[in-house]
Amino acid sequence: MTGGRVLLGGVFVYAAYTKLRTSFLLFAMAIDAYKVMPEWMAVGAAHVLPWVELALGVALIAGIWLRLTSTAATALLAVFFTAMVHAYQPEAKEGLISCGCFGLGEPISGRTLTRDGALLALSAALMMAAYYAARRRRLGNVAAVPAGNPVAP
Amino acid sequence: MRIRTWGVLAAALALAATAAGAGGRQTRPQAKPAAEAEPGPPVKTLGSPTAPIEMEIFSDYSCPVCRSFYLGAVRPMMEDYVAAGKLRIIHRDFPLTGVPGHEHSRQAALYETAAARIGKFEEVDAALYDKQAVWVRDGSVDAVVAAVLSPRDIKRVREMVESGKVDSYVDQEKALGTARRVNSTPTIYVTSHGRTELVPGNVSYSLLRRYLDEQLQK
Repeated sequence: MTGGRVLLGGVFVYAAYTKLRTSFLLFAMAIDAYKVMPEWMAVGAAHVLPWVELALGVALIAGIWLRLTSTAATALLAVFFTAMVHAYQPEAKEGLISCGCFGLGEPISGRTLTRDGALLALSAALMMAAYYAARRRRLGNVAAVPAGNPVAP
Repeated sequence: MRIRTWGVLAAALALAATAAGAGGRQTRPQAKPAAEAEPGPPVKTLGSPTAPIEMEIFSDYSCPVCRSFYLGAVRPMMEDYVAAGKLRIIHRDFPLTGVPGHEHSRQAALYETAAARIGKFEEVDAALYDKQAVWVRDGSVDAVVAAVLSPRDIKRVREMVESGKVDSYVDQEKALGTARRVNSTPTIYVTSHGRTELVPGNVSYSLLRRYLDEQLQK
């Protein structure tokens, strides 16, 4: 899972970079185009999201707080994916909504849905692996205590 | 008698010759009207070429989102930015041929391009968007354009459209959009400070304003 973790972390860092190198208002316009929140909320999200992506990406690559970061990444990707599915217009040629995943210019398409769906699946798998590993560590600690001795709090 | 007859005849001939000569001096042959000069290339820009921001819009006149963008953003921008010399807008035709509901897009682009060649772009651009619901349904592009042009101008536009003189301009703009990977309309590029960025087509004017103001403040 190390490779998957680093890959996912790298994707988040790149996504943050594509948004932070341009005006945050472009990302705000991309979010607003989905028409799922009021404009002021889209502006707030455009301010905050790239930094959240950057922090998650760095933490995933570094392998720290894995349960927290993988859960946050999964939740974020689930929200993005749901919004994209809702906005997807397979036959339209007018007013196509940009994915906004890595800057503008990439309309929501079967390809972007497949890509982001795969990232969501990878993140969910990492999350489950992180919780499973933590559980095994806890069980391992319990097994290491000799029988009859109280387990220290 | 014979001399008198000849004399009368000679006098009559002299008079006739004099009248012909006088008529010729009084009536100059009318000069042929000068042929209409061939119009130059279409001018589909709004605003000063020295404006610090340039907005390039690839659009299709049949596209409802393009119409919304024109009415909700382009018109206010003309007042707020173009008139103040802060923004230059360039219209590029990208007719979505072969798409249902866009059967008359190319014809609209041809009429608008022809009008742009005689300096009537703005009027025809506005008319095509204002009456979109009408001509998209019944194909009455000619009537919509004729309603905003003088009889002389619509005659010139029709001649250019029917003779195919503006086809190449529309084809060139379509090819330009295709080369820049335009795949839907409207597609909007904003250039300022030497940098070109893509702006979402279904954007609210309030956000677009903030973006333009931010670019102007740089």
